[in-house]
Amino acid sequence: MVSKNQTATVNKSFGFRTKKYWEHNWQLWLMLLPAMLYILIFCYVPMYGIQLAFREYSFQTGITGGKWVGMKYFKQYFESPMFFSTLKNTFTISFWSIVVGFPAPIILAMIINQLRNKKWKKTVQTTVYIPYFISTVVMVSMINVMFANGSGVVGNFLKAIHLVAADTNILGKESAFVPLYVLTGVWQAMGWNSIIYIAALSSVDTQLYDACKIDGANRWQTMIHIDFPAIVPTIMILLIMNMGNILNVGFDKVYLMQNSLNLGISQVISTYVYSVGVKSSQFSFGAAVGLFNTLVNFVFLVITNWISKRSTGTGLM
Amino acid sequence: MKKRVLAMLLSVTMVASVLAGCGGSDGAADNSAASTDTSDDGAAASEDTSAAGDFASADSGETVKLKALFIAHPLTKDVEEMQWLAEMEAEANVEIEWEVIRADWETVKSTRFAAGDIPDILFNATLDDDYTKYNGLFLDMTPYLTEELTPNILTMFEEEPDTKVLATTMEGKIYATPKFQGKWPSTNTVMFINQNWLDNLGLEMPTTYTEFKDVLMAFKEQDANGNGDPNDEIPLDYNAYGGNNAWFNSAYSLTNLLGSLGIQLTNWGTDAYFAEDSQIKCYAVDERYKLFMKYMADLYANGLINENALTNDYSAFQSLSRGNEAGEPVVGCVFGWEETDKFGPELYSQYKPVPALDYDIDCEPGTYDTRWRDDYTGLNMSSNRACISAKCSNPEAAMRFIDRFYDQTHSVESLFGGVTDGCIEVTGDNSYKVLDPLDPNTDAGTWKWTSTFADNGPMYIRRASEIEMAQDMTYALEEREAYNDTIAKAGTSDTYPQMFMKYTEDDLNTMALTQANINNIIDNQWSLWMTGEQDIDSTWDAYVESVNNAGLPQVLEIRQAAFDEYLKNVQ
Repeated sequence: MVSKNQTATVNKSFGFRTKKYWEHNWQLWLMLLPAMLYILIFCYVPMYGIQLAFREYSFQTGITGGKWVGMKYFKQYFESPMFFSTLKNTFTISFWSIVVGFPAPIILAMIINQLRNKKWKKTVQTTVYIPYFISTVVMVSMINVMFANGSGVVGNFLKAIHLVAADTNILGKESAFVPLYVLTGVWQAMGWNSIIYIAALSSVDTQLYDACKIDGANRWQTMIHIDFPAIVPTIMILLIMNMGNILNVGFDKVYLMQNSLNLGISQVISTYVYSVGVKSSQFSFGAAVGLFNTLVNFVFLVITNWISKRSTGTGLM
Repeated sequence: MKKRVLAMLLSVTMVASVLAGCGGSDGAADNSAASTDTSDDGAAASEDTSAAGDFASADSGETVKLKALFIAHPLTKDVEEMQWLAEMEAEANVEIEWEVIRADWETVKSTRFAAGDIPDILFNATLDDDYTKYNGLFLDMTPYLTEELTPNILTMFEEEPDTKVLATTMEGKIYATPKFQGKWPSTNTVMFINQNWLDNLGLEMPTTYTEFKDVLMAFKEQDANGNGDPNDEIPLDYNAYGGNNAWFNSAYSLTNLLGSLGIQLTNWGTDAYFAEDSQIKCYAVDERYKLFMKYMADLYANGLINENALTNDYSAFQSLSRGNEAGEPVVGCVFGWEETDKFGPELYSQYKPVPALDYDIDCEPGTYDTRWRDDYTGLNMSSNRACISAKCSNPEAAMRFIDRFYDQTHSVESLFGGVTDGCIEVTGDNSYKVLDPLDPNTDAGTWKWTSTFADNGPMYIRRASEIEMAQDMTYALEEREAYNDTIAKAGTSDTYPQMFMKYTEDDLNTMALTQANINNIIDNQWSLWMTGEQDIDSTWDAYVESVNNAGLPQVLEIRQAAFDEYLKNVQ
């Protein structure tokens, strides 16, 4: 009897708690609903297409109807001579993109935050984030014009100050591709990416700055001891998210910047998928390579998250 | 209570939207099932056609509405304005709703075909392997090729049997009609040199590689164009930019000079394949290509080859040859189709064709049997001009309309423009005159591409038809006289017209994948060698090995089998 009564109370209280929870929170769930639907419909539902990577694509039977061939296309990719070179190129480009491109907006945000003159601050901020709105095609055309051999303004300037050897074809040299790609990327996205850090910095308690001043700290010390610790959680979250994209080198910019001379470094996984999967209509092969790419990204995301949780206590999951 | 109702409502909508999501995918599956159904229907219907011959004629009382897609040259004007086309629609008793795509068809094609999103008739939109890849999407025309529906196409197949070979698949089906435009010359490319520069510097027309280099050196070092600036001359220019393995596939690449080493190229030598003694080879791994690349690297190191050509697209390549702002020529030697098209109305008279050069580096001229690329079949014939969707509601009407393009006069109109449009004139039973462009600011070549389907359309230009062509074609034929004897050396055993080869779907898939890997190596390496980034001698063996590892031997084997089959049919 006693035990029966107890379970009843537990049940009742569980039901009661659920009801209470929904009464309190249904507005939040309602607001979340469109986003959840979006992710469900556009991210989860299309995943049924993943099976294409394990099937022989046939036009007549569609994505789900082809013959099941298992790991055939993965094997084909792993055994192809392009496997290591595309993987290496993709990794090199994203590694440098993160190493150079990730700290840049943080530094910029901390500098902008230290500017005292409001008007000046606004001007700088606007100027640095405007390039973000240039489309990739236009951006690459600008690169091609400004770095063209012989007539490119920026290219000639770099040669004049001996930063680049005089006989280099900047657009063609393999060793120049990664710096060109990464640095133009930094120039374009730095301002935009700094916005989130500026927002994080604006939440720093001003009393801390005052206390800092009283203690006799200079600008540099303020930045290191007040600003930086304040944005570390933001930095970690963004770093984890960036690591999840480590093998997602933007297709369009690399593809547009490709030419026969730099192909050795500029053939990345996404452009390879395009040239084999789409241009030569090997859809299943393309799907398999794409899936492999996503898996690697996922592994990187999990590892970074784990490291971050252990070392700083911030993480996504 | 209210809240519960709301919650239920929300859950219902959520479930509904999930279902809708699934419904979408089901719908797609249904569609593809439907398309296979129709192909069956199509086959069934085609069996009936002979019996239903009267159906076709009964049909002709009423105008049939059809949709058509035309992949046009970027310059082509609105097809609705083409008078000759409207006349043909009236003759065939059809009314066509046109869709014209002028650029980037290759990028949207695979998605549109995979989705089954095609109109009734497609002009210039398909390639041979599309019919196997998208099996069931297109109509097999063979049952409709009848004396009654398509008299003109049958005449073409009879008088030019090659066109039928070209159009027929391995299984004996015909999915698309080919074209024949017999009046085109036997090579796409002429190598031009500035005769004025030669005269200014007191030089002779070069005949060998050594003389050629000396001429280019003189162009570079002296003020060849006489404008006082000895440094604005670009001795040698070419086009090899554009993503599609252009060093090997562009008509205006330096690889045109490979003929000097006895390599006979056919129809642009696509992807570096050629035939020699009935053997299919790839010159990208041939010892002679090594010699050729060494010569090119030497020219490049001496500053004789335009450095920017590596990154110049086709329009930059074209405009460079038309001189600088002051109208002075800056290019000494370059490849082109025809002089007025290449150099513009001001400069064209300065340029003359250079006959095929003999290779004489470290050997006597004549060691290699000099050749020049033979593009006759490629320029005069092509398959896949028009095809019909398997879902087309009235294939008879579609065939009737397509056949009108192959009519004697309409063929000429398709290529040069309509009679009533003021583009050509009928001067006799079987003779025509191409009139000057109505727009005085364009040249004849541009005018053709603007005012009609031009080379992209279906046509059968009879060999017997006499056509007085515009100035540019007359020039084009004259310029090629320098090469005619060299091209005539090509025999059956070293002519490799790739478009005649038939492959199975498996072979096509293997070739597509392997070729992409091969291209990735060869399309990179030539530029590293030419610019001196890598030494040819020390990297050659590793390069050949990597190309072979990428699968070249398999591709050669597949190609060889298809070529053997082709030779059997030719003989």
